[in-house]
Amino acid sequence: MYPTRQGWTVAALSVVLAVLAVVFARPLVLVGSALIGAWLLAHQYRFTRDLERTVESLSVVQSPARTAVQTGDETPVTLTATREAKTELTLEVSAGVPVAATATRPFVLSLEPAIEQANRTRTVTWPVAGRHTFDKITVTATDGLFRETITAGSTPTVTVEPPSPRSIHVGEGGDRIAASYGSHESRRPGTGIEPAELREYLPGDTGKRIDWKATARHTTPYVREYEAESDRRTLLAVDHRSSLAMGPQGETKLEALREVALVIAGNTRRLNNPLGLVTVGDGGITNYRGIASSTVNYRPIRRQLLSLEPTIAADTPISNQMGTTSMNSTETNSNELSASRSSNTQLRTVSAGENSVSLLRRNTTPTDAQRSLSDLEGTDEDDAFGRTLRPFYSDQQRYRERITEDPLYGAVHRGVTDAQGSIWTVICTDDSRPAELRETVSLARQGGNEVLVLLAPSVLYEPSGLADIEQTYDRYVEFEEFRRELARIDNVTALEVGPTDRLSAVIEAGRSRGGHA
Amino acid sequence: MSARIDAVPAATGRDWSTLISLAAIVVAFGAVAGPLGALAGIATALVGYLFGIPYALAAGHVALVASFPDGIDPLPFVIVEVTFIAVLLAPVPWTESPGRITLVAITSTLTLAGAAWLIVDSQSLYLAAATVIVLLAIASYGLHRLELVRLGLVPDREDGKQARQNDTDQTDESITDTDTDTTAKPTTEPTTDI
Repeated sequence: MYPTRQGWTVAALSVVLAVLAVVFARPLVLVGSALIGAWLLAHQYRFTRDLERTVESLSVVQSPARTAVQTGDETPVTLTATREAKTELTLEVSAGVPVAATATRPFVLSLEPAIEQANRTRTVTWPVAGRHTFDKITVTATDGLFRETITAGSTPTVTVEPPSPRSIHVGEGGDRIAASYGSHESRRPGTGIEPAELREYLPGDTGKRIDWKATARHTTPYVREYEAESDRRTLLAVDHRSSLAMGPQGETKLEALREVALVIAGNTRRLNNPLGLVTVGDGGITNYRGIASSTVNYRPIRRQLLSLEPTIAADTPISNQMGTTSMNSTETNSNELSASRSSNTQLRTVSAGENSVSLLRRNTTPTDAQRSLSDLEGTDEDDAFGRTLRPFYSDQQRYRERITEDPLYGAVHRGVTDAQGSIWTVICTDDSRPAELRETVSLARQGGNEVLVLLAPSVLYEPSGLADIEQTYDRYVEFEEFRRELARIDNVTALEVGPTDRLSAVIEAGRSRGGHA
Repeated sequence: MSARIDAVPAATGRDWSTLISLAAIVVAFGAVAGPLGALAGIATALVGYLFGIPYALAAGHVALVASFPDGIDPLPFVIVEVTFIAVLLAPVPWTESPGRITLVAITSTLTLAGAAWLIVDSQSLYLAAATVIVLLAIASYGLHRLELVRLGLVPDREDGKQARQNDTDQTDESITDTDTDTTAKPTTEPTTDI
């Protein structure tokens, strides 16, 4: 409790009277000083009583309209004060707007003695990302002579997120897949706590493995098998080359893939699975963190994922006959995508033909190409068959050498080689380099490893949007065929990652046309 | 609604009971000091009406000294002082705790004035004045502490240590959070289900 200026004036009046009493040597004036002092004390006590009753009956609430916003958003925040007890105190209620937020005007309301409730709404801007907690509401009470400041009310928290894709679709052919992450079965017996099966006792089983309850039921010894506990060693391979920059501000391919990669990394930490990360730029590997405990790796990997920016492409785009393209500007995207599409079309046309040509399609892996070339080397020089095919397989050899220089392939190669053992490789990239991706997936699934490919369809991120919806749908169908091609490979799951609204529009357009992706 | 809080006036005592008590001052002054006293009483009442009770008390006592330059007899003194006390207590019935506030007012008056009276009898007036001021300061500080305790605004020693410890912990956490969230582009876990 502190005196206001008026309170100090009254106190000074008492002192002045006391001084006057001394100066004029009249004790009568001193009685006036004592009476003023008594008046002041009576009001001070009254203030204390009123304040106590006010605090007991006061309810102050600051409620933001939304608790999750994006940077730069404006949200209305309402400050409400209600007092049930009737007192002579005037209350000045100040909202505890966080330091990182700015209100358009001072966020204060006054509650006069005769008023029981008041509220005020102000627009608050959130320029800084993070979790911002409101301070407690500051209530200043005064009766004109004294004032006291207390804090009260709840402290809501507002989460401010940086611009990011608002809604990301992850699924297959426009269908969103259900959450599939969690504890996974190892399907191998071993030491664990998850019961796998009950089987009869066999010589060699230790006595402590006998399940006595089952034995009692069956009258012969039974042993309970448990599922072995295993860690799913996860390697995240995230592509952040220039082509991943495609898309509206804050909703690029990279942003979408980053969000999904963060989810996977988060799940990995939750399940305490080992985690590694390799990031790929146009010049090759930009960051590599070998597979290690998620306790150690999660935070650095999360930081690396969040700090990823698309790299700048080399001046000369690299292209190849299989449709691998490297885009260095938005203008070139459509041309190169067309090239990519045409090569895919050729492949499809060829594969739809004779069986032998289909075999050619399957033999496009570097290892197969190498083996086929070796086979041809052993054939007779005059053999027309060998003479005709040898040049093609020689090209495949050069292709094999070139593909190993592709950044994504090289990155996954390093990750898989270093991991030594079964791993789950998650490849986050787009569809602009199908040949490289095929080879990369083939490499990643070697040794029975599981692979998850998260593909950002370029057609859903192009700046032109959905201007020509029919053409967009056709291109989406082509993408879907490529995705299915990957998904058909054993141990490979291929999912599309795109903006929900655009994808829905494309799918809807397809439905109205009677097609099906 | 947006009045500055400093501008909130203290109770100036313009209710009818205060007006009656101010009128009583006029009557008392007129009774004990004649027409000149009545004028002084009117001036006192006006000051009280316009500026507030404390100013009326101050002006009234100065006027009383002026009206009785050779000293005042006990009876007129008591008559006038009773009206002053009436002015002091006039607004109290309208408060939520009239009994307690009346008790505080009467006790304060008797204590301060009684102390002054006692000391003036035996000591110098200077010491009596100083005593009144010191007693007033002590009583005021006591009420201030009472308010802090009643509202729970003063943590006890152990709580204080605990509170300081909590503050330190929170600071540490906030540093950690800053490290996590600001360096790593603060964002929540994405809600995407895959």
